Amino acid sequence: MSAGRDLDHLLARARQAEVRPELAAAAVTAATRAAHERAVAPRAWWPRVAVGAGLALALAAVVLLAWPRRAAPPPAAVVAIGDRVAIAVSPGGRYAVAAADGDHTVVVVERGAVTARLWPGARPHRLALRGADVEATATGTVFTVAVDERGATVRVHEGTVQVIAADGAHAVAAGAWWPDGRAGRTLGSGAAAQLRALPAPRGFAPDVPAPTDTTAPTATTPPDAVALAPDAAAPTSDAASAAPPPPSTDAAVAIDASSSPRDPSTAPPPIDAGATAPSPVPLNERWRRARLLRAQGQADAARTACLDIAAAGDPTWSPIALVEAIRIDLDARSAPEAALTLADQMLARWPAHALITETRALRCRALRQLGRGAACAPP
Amino acid sequence: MAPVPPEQLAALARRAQAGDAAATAELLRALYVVVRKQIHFILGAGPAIDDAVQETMIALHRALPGFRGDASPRTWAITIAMRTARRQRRRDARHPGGGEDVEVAVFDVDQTGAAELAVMRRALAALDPKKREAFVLMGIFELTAAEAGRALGTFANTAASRFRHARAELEAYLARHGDETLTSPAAPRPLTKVEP
Repeated sequence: MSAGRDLDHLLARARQAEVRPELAAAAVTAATRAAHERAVAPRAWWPRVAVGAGLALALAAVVLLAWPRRAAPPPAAVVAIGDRVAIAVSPGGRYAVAAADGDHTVVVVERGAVTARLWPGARPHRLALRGADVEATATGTVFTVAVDERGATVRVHEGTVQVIAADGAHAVAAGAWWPDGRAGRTLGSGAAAQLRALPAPRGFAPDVPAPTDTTAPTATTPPDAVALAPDAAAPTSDAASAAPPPPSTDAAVAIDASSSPRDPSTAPPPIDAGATAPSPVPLNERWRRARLLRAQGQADAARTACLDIAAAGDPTWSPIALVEAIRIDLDARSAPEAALTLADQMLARWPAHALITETRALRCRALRQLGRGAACAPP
Repeated sequence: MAPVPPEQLAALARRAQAGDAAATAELLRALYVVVRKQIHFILGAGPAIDDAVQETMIALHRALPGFRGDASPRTWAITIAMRTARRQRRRDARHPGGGEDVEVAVFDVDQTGAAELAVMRRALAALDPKKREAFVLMGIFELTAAEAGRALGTFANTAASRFRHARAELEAYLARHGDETLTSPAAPRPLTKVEP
């Protein structure tokens, strides 16, 4: 058989060869099943992705819920003062109510943050918050004064507050704080919300004049609060309370230049000199006020305030204030005769005081200015 | 399994496209016979052959809704099987020889028929793949040159030329190894190229 005939024979055999039918049945079954699986498979990705995303979200939610959270700060203690004022004191804060009557309320912040709200009414009422270096007077607003080792921070929640400092006046609008750069963004927010949620105190009637005998806080005082029991019956002559409020603001904050870290050389705005009258304010606060007045260039008012303190006969504050009055006479008022008189008073009343040496020096300066330098001799 | 006439295949294809599951199964069984034999002679023997056949059957099943009827279902299946076989050949170029037992397992033949089919498979394995493809399509499946050209992705003349060369080389192979090829299950040896 030739090769060509062999090939034809083999070709015929190959053409006639029949595949086993059982193979066909099994192959078709397997192919049909596999085709269905492959057809379904491409559509199955998104459920897996959705399930995965859901699991991830659930895990994130569980983590967030189970994550240890910082305990929420305890709510501030809310105290009603008089008929139109309420304050909220931060935990650990210390304050004292220095005055409270129908026309004005003075709260001294010794430590921590005090947020105050004054309900406006037909009759003017001034609310003053004092701190280490801050005095805020409001006529109808919500604001916070906080005192720490760095000084005072003022945060205004409602209305506008004018901050009067040694470097000038600063109008602080609602939502802002002073000074810039301090962490005042959230200062007193919780307390302000507490105060805003309060209804008007009992007896508050905007059209009715407020009672004048509100000598003490009318609500519970926090355990750590210190009430100074001011003599509210006495007519107040406090400079801040007597000063008219700035026309464009609801409150004023006065910064004591003696304790303020800011530049005292900046020309301060004037404040009312009515602070010369006797005041129920504690002597240390009156001393700060006198220093503030002097720093603001109010020499006469500062001298009068110092003489008031000196007249109080306090062994601590009176000699200090008297010597300060001598300095004012010599430096600011150019009144050597008055300085000489005061120096003689100092030498007579507190001859053993630590400031007596300086008093003698000041007296000699006064004598020299009067042309009587030869009389400058130790008594 | 006897081959299904072309008219019956076309009818099965129409019914399968209309959603007749039974017709689909019957059509796939008929086409399986074709592609199994085609891949057997193109790729040879081995486990990769089964993978190629299954892949072809899956491709047929998925491509059936898009079958337009331009060609016969048989030619359509051969075209798809050819692409699958080429992909499989690129993945695994080994084509183990094997004895007649391979043919016995696939074809419903006696021992002599299995031996002759094994000779054909080994002789084809010695050919250049392109010539082998052309010979399988035009020699065994008796496609026209145009049909083979479409299935191979080339011109009809090219397919016919490859077929002629393959036939000449196979005849030379059988002339040299006639008795040996019928008795030895050894792996094929390269053919001597025959110039046209």
